[in-house]
Amino acid sequence: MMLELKNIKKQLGGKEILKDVSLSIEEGEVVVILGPSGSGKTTLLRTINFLGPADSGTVSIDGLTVDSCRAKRSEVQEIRKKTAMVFQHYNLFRNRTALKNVTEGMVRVQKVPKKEAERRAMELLENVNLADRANAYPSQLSGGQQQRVGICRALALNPKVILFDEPTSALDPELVGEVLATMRAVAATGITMIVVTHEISFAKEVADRVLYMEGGVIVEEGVPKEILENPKDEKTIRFLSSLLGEYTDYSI
Amino acid sequence: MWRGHELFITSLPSLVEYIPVTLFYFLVPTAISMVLGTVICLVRVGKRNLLYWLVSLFVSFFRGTPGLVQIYLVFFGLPEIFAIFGMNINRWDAGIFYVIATCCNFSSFVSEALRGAYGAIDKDQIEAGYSIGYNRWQCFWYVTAPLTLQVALPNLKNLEIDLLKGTAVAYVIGVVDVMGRADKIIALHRGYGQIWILLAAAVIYFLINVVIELVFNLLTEYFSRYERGLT
Repeated sequence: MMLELKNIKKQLGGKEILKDVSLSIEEGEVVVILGPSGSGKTTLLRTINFLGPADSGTVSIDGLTVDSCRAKRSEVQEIRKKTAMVFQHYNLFRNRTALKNVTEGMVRVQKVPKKEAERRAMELLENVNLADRANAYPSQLSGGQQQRVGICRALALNPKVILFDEPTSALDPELVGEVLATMRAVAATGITMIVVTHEISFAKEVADRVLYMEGGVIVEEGVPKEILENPKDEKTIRFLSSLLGEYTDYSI
Repeated sequence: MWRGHELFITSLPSLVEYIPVTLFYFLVPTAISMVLGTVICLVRVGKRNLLYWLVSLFVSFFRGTPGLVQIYLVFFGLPEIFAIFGMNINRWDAGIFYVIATCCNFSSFVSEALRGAYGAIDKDQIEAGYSIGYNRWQCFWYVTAPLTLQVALPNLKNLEIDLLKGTAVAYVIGVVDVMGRADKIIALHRGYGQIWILLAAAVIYFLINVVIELVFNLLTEYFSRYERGLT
């Protein structure tokens, strides 16, 4: 078992966002989490690396188990070292070049020698066709380019699990493809991935397992074909049909 | 009243001689207050414990009372407090009292400039830092501090300019800096040509401030090098 969440509960502003969520993920598995906004997908993702720790429940990654409400600072950092995150708004360090963004974690956290880190970072940037933009600052890159750098930054850390928090939802439509292609390539390397997204086609092609969340619980889960083409729960059916553009007609 | 213009030129050399003293009373409080101001700011953006309220009271007091009063309070009050513990500090140089009073005052203002800037920075950047495994110290040093400083710079520039001008008040407790020297020259001439001597001092302060402004403009440019220009 690579990652296990047990009885995760979390409230935000008095509202119950996660109602006792448990989840286990095998090594190398690509799990896609779908669900309407406000269903707790992102919140769940952020409890894993303690950017928004849960009120109760345990998080286990690669043999390290941490209790959410009694986590020591050192334990939290160990968990974070085992994970990496790709953010909705890229969150590249704005005062660092693309290359520095990628080397930063290797050099300062993993203490990789600078030369070695730069060599590896250039390799990663080359893989996503950004070698020529290595010395550009985030403000000089397009959204799609920034997100590809963000993925390189995550990969550079050699994490056990990469958490993708709606990586394409802030992008212009024509830039979504390049980021999804990169994510497909990442999935092909066999790394464990948890992806919160609205890209149904990505889920269909790449995911090993799809979870459907709504109202702070996992409503339904299974292989993509089963969930996406033959959903059982009424909530899943309603959500998928709304994604396919079958909106209710309003008269104004 | 305009007589004595020759004193403008003749007093200049002996005023210039005291520029290092004025710079000392500018740079030492700056260095101390940057550190102290950062610490105060860190306490003030943290948990509301006893330390938070004590520090808030400190900031509120030193921002809410005139600097001149603070200098007098420290100059006359501190020896009294030390006397309780049987220590005599009456022989301390007046400059020490000036530095102590000014550091209390200036670090309060610096802490508020930093606190305002901290509130304005993008917290996503801090999350990114934690996500790659930075500890709290690394996050502060590599992410929070440079971004906060960038936002605070224009405000700090104003404060530093005020601080330099403020050094001119130190002569009231007997510190001899550019203004203290000017005061002495005026006394020597029994007021004759005093406006020309004061003008000479004004020119010196103005030129130092021009340099301060230039330094801050360069710093601002450096800290904003990664911003997209609005050209």
